[in-house]
Amino acid sequence: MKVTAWALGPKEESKSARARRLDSFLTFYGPGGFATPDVVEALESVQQGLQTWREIEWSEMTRGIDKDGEQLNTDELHLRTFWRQWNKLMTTEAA
Amino acid sequence: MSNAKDITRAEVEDFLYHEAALLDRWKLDEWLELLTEDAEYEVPSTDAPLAKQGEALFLIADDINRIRARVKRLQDPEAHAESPRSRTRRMIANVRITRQEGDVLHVAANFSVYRFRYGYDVRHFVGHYHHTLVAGADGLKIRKRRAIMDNTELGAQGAVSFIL
Repeated sequence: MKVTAWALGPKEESKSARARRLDSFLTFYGPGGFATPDVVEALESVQQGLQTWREIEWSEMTRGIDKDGEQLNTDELHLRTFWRQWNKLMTTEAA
Repeated sequence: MSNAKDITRAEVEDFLYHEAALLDRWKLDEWLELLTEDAEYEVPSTDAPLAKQGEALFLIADDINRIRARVKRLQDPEAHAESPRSRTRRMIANVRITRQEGDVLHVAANFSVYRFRYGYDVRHFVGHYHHTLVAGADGLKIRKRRAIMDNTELGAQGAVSFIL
């Protein structure tokens, strides 16, 4: 998978603001960042997993589904909420 | 061994080969011991190889704290791009001492690094290093390590997820 990313900065940026912006960008983003290579790896692994779509019809997002209280960071309430809303928008007839 | 004048190219080569071997074997904590307390590690963007830090976007621009954080990160199984770790093989060549002043040596060297990983084609990183080395009581140490890639863009390499 090819990902193209851009770092945008304001035109009239001061020297120190530019240095700070570039530095904080690098702690997370970019081909040598602390997160982007891992995110791309995850994207590629998911794409690989989804190749099984003929055999496996559902993607399971049930972590934390039985909990009434607080969810953990690894629970998937946010994914269920996202897809419920997506489904609602995609299946509601336009007025 | 505190005067850089007494250090030969062969000694510098031995040092760089040792460094490369540690990185290829993922002995990252031992590699950290080769760095000075104020060390920097830079990989400039492929379209701005001569850029200065703070003025242009780099691929990597680490001070010693971020180098240590990078090593810690790479040892975490949640660093998915390198878990499982890729196999790398570094060829270091054309080593030259370009300048010396007091206990400091400026060294240029070429690199050719292959990265192998399950599910990927082999990825090849080619370029040259600018090293600033310091000659101390316990041998050479790296004060600055700048890896400049010859690739015009990173499409075939994907990322620089290991220490180049």
